[in-house]
Amino acid sequence: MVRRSRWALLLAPLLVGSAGMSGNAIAASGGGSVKAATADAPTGRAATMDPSGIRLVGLDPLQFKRENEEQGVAFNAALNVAFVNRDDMGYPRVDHESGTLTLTTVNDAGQKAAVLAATNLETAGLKLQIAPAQASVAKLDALADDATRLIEAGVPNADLIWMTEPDQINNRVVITITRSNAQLLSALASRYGTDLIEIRVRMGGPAAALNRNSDAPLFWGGALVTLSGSPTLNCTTGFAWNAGTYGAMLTAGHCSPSGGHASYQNYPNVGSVASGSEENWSNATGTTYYTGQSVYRGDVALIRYNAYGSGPYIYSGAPGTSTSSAVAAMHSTWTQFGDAVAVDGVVNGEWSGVVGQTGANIWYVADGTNVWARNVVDATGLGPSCPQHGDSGAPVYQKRSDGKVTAYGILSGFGEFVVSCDVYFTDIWNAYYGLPGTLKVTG
Amino acid sequence: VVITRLRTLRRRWIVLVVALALVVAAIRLGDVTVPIYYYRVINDRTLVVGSTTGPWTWLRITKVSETSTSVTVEARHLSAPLPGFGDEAVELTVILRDPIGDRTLIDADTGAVVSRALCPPSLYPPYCTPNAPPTSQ
Repeated sequence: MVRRSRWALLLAPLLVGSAGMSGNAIAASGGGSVKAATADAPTGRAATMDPSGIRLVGLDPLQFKRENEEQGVAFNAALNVAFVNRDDMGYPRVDHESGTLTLTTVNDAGQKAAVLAATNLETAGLKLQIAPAQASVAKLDALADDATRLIEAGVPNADLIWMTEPDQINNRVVITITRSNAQLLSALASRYGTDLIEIRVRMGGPAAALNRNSDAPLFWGGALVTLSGSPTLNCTTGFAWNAGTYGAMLTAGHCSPSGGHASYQNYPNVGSVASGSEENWSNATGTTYYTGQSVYRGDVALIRYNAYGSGPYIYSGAPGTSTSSAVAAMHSTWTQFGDAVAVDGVVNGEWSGVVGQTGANIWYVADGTNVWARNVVDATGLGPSCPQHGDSGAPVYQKRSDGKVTAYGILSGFGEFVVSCDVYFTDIWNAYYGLPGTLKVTG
Repeated sequence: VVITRLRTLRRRWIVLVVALALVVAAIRLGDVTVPIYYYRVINDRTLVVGSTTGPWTWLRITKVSETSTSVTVEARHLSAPLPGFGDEAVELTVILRDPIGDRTLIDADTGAVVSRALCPPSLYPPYCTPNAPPTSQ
């Protein structure tokens, strides 16, 4: 439920007069209670310290994570206040444990702006607080910008830096480096001090610029995803899916036949597939029923992300591409004979064909004597270009005249016969009826 | 009779040669480059590169070209023409002439620079030992 903090209006003069920058903060909740809050209420995970004195943080994003849409709206409003007053305010933060939304300020002007904003801010049921911050948004932005120009500045090993982002929880800047380096960290500590920056060590860098081989949140379809298991499998993501608190994604069921964890090149272990209920594959027999169901639904699984979102786009084009297409809608009917479809996986890129059979059972003879993909669609096109190992799970779609795509299904397997290529995919309606949630679309 | 037999024999040879040519052409058409997703450094001159394979598939490193600034690696696979999938993550070993140093690694399939990794994507620290020998994951 969304509610406004009207009490803050009545208390505004008192708040401005008493809070200042004393290190205590004022809380103005929707219920009208006023309490002191410490300036540096720590939230997020505990960090370890480098010998340089800089905090080292883990892979988890240190940014606001909404528990519901109303909180997202409330945080967005608070963030806008901070952006408008970027010289006077720090990043707002939400502490789910204490149920508070905190506006942070660095001077009297920021304090006044925060109190004024508090009068009509949507708080989504969170108690509103105002607390001092050690740096403004503008200062953190300037620091983050400077950190991207350190090679020219002659800072040793500055080429290890490849990303910066605000830590919205602790009002600092996270500097991500490909590997730890004492000389660089010492230089950063000298340049920025140790209070406003944190270091994250994560492989990546220019070579890992956003593309289908190293996707990043919001995750899209058509990207490389690695699923744990025995053996570990490299597959392609299909379409973004609405399910659960965070984002979700379709891929092929055989990519996670016993459930397991999903990883990207620079985002290890970011999601998981639930065995049985959200995948329908057995390496011994092929298609299985989803738990509690009695209809074979091809070969499709649902990845649920732990903390990240997914977006209604697919990578489209050649292997390694960073170009994309928006997903406009689900095909309005079950796939039919003669439908023209395209597939775009990480290995082969785009392939086009025409639907021949629907509701087909195909013997995956290359994968075992009893392995049958059941209730899939067969499309045929010209070879020798054909989806390959690693393309499983890729989006199957039809291009529209406006550049967007209509979702048709999820790639399961292929048969390459030199001059012709057969592609087998799960109809998107089987994903819709078999799994919780719906397709994410841009409309 | 002799002439007829010779003609028949010649015709059979032609059919055989054409059939062999078609088989070779089919194999060459099916032998395609595949992407390399990451590489790991085992030691100065030994790398492993991450790619994907499947059943009835021959995946191997087919070319390594070294310059002073880059190392270009080409991986190809040849699959049997059988229906199926197969998406197994694998690592292939590459031996270099000179130490890798600061040179970048380029994937011959896409022409893109390949990311260096400490571990395979699904075996992130602390579940992997950096610079460990190649694994089928």
